[in-house]
Amino acid sequence: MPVNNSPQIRNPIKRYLQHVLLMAFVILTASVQPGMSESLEQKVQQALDIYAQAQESTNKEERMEKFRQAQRLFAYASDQGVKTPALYTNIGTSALQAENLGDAVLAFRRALALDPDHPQALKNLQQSRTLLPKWLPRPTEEGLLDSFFSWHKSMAAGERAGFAALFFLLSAVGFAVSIRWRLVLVRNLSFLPLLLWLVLLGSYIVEINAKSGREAVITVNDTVARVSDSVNSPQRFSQPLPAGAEVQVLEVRGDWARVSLSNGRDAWVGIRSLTYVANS
Amino acid sequence: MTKGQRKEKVNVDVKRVILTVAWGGILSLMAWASDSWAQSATLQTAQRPPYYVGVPLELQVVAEGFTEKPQPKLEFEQPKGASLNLTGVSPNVSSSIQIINGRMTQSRSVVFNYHLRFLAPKVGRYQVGPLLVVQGNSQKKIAAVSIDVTDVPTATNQRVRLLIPNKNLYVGQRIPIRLEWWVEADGVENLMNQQASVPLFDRQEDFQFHDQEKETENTFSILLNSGQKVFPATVRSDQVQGKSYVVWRVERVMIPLKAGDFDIQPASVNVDEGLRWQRDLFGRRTVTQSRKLRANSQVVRFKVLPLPTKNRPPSFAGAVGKGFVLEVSADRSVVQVGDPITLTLSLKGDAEVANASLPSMTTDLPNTDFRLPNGKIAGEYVDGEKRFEMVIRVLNDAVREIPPIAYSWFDPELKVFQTTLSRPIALSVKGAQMISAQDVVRANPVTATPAPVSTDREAPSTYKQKRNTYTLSGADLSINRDVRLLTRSSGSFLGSWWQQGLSYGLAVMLMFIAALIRRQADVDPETTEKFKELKLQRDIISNTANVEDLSDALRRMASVTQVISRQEYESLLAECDALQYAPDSVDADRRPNPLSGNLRNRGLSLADEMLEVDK
Repeated sequence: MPVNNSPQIRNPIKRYLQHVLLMAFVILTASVQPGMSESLEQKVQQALDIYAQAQESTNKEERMEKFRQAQRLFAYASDQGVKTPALYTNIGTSALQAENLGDAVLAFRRALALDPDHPQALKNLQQSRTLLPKWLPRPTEEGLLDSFFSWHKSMAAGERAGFAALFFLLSAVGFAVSIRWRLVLVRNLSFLPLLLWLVLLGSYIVEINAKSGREAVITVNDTVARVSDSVNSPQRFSQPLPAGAEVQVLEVRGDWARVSLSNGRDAWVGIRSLTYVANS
Repeated sequence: MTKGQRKEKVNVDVKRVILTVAWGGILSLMAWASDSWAQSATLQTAQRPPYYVGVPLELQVVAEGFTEKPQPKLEFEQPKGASLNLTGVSPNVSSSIQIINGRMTQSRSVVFNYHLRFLAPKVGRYQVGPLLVVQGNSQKKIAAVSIDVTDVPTATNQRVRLLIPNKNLYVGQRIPIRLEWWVEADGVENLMNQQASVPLFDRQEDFQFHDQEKETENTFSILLNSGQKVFPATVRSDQVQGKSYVVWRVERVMIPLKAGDFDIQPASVNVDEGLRWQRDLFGRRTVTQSRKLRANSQVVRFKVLPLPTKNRPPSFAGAVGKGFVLEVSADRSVVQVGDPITLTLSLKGDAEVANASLPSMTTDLPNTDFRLPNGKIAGEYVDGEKRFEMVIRVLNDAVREIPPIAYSWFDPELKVFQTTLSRPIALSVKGAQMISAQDVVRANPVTATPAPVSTDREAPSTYKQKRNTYTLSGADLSINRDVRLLTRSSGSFLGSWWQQGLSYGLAVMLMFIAALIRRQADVDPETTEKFKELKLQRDIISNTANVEDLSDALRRMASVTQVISRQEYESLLAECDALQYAPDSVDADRRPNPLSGNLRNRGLSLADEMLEVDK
C-alpha cells in the first residue's frame, strides 16, 4: 500500500506554467466587462428614439430641443464611463443638429482620438469647422510629410500601445524558441517584431508626452481672449473666440489658460471656457 | 634770556625765512625758465601759394614741449575779412629709451598738432595771428603771418546751376532742389580735386534739408561749415549748343523754416586742372603742373511765404504738402464702457510726415463719448509713414462707431487747406456692469460636459458673433443605432490595459521558462539518468510488498549514489537478509516474504536521503 505523506518532487516548469495560467485567469476574470446596467441601455435607447423624433419634427424649436435632449442622454452614457467612437460621434452629431458647435467639435475630436479613421466623425468635424467664423484659424491641412507618416495618425494611441505589446509578445516567443532549441534563424527573426515594438512604443510615448491633455476646444461661446491672465487686460483679438475653436493649452495659471490658435497666436482665456479633448 | 638776546634771535629767524623764500623763488624761476625754453610752437602749411578766394587753406600749429595733460589751448582772433576755424587737434606722444655704455636715458616727447582752416571770401592780404598756445600758466606765442589771397580764374568750360523750382515758397513746404555741375566733356579728364561750396546749404537756421538715402556709384563733395560732406550724385551726358557736357547732379529736399525774402550767395565749384602730366614707374598718370579754376552759379533769390491763417481748419496741425492719407485701426471692436481701445493712426503723404503731429481730436471724438489721452501723442516714423498709437476709452454705451477722424494740411500748389477723413470703425459697446455667478448664462445650455462658468466680466450672451451660415449639407447626420456598440465599455480588446499586461506578462514568462528549460537541458545526461534510476527505485520501495524488492532497490540505489546513514543501511539490509534467508521463510513454492510497515518506512527514509544527496 503506497504511503503519500512523504516529500514529493515536483517539476518546476509545471509550477511556472500553473502560475502563468493562474495569472491569465485572474486578468481575464478582471477584464470581463461588467454588463451594462439596464438603465444605461435604456437611456441610450431613449436618446436614439428622441433623436428620431427630432428628425421627424417640423417645428424648429421642438426639433432643436429634442436634439439637445438626445445629446444630453448620449452624454450621460459617456459620463458613465462608456467611451466609444460611435457614442462620441452620436453626441457630436446631436450637438451639431442642436447648433452647439463647441460640444460638437469636442465630441468629434474625442471620437477621432479613439478612432482616427472614423469616417463620420472626420466628415462632421470638417463640416463643423466650416461653420466657425472665417477669421478663426483652422487646424492646417495635412502636408506631404504628414501623409507619409499617416500610419501614425491612422491608429489611436491605445491601438498603437496594444500592437506594441503584441509585437513584444511575438518577439518574446521567438526568443524563447531560439533559447530552448538554439535556433539562430528564429532568434534573428525575432528582432523584427522587437524593432516594430520599439517604433510603436516610441510613437505612443511621444504622443502621450507631446499632446496628452493639451488639446482643447473652446466650449463657451464668445469667450473673450485676453492678452494676460486678468479680466482687466485688453482683448487679444478683435473678436471673442467662438465655441468650437480648437486650441492648444500652453500654460495654466489659476483660473486662466494660455492657449494657442492654429496660426500660433496665443491668448489667455478662462480655464472654464475650454474643455480638454483627452477625456480622463 | 635777556631782551637783547631775544631780539637777536628773532632777527636770525626772519633772515632764515627770507633766505629760504628767496632760494625757493630762484629755483621756481629756473624751473619755469627751463620749461619755457623747452616749449616751441610754429605755424605751418603744406600748401604752396597762390592761395585762392573761397578755397580753404589748411594751416597747422605744431606745439612741442608741453606736458601731456592738460591739453594746451590754442587762442587766436579771427582775421579781418576772413575766417579761421580750428578743425581738430591731434596730440602725438612718443617715448624713447637710450642705453649708451650701460647708462640708460629715457625721454618723452609730446607734440600737439592743431589743424586750422583759413577761408577768404575776397582778394587781398590777410593777417593770421598772432596765435597763442596756452597750458596752465605757461604760454607760447606764434607771430602773425600774412597771407595773400588771389582770385581763382573762372573756368570757361564749366558752369554751376542751383535750381529751385518755385520762386514763391511756403514755410514747411518740401521743395526739391538740384545742384548741377556742367563740365565740357573734352576737358573732364584733366580735372581733379573738385570741391563745391553751396552757401544755401549752410543756412541751417532758415532751411532744413533732407537727403534721400540711395546708393549711387558717383558722389559729389561739398564743403559746408561743418566740414566736407559727400553727397550721392548722378552723372549724365548732355548737349547744349552743340557741345557735349558731363553733368553731375545732387538732389536734396529743402524745407523753409522761416518766412521772408532770401538772396542766396552763388554756389561755386573749385577744381584743379592739370596742365602737365607725367607717368610714374607704374605707368600711372600724375600731374606735375596744375591750376585752380572756379565756376559760379547765379545768385538765387526767392520768397518764403507764411502759411495762411484764414480758413485754417481745426484739424490742421502744420502739415504742408499734398496727398495725405490717414488710416485708423482699432485693436478691438467689442467693448464695454470704459474698456481701453488702442487706436493706431497711420499718416502717409507726399510731404514731410516724419515731423508731423496729430491735431486735436476733440472735435471728432467728443469728450462726452470718448476719453482721450492727455498731452501730445508721440509718433513713430516707419517705412515712409508716421504711426501714432493712442488709447481711448468709450464713455457711452450709445456709441456705435469710432467716427471719421479729420486731418488737414496746406497744399502749396493749390494754395488751399485740404482735409482727409479716416474710415469709421464700427463698435459694439455694452454698458459696464458686475456679473454675478447667477447672471452668467451659457449660450448653449446643453453640454456633454459639466456646464462651465465664465470668469470674464462680459456676459457671453452679449456677443453675437457673426459666423458662417449654419448649413449642415456637408455633414453626415445619421446616428449609430446599435445599442450594444454604443454601450460597449472601454473599446476593443486591442490596446486595453489587460491586453497589454497579458502580452508583456506572457512574454516575460516565456522568456523565463525558456531559459529554465535550457538550463535543465544543459545538465549532464549521466546525472539525469542516475536521478531517474534513484527515483525509480524509490517508487519500487514505495510500492513493493515484499522484503526482496526492498533490499534489491536499496542496493541498486547505493550502487549509484552515496549512502549517508551507512549503519542504518547495513542494519536494514541485514534485517532484510535475515528475513529473506530464514530457514522457515522458504517454502516449497518460494513465495516472497511480506514487507512490514516499519521496514518500508525505514527504506523510504534511506531512499529519500540518497535522492537528496543526488539532487
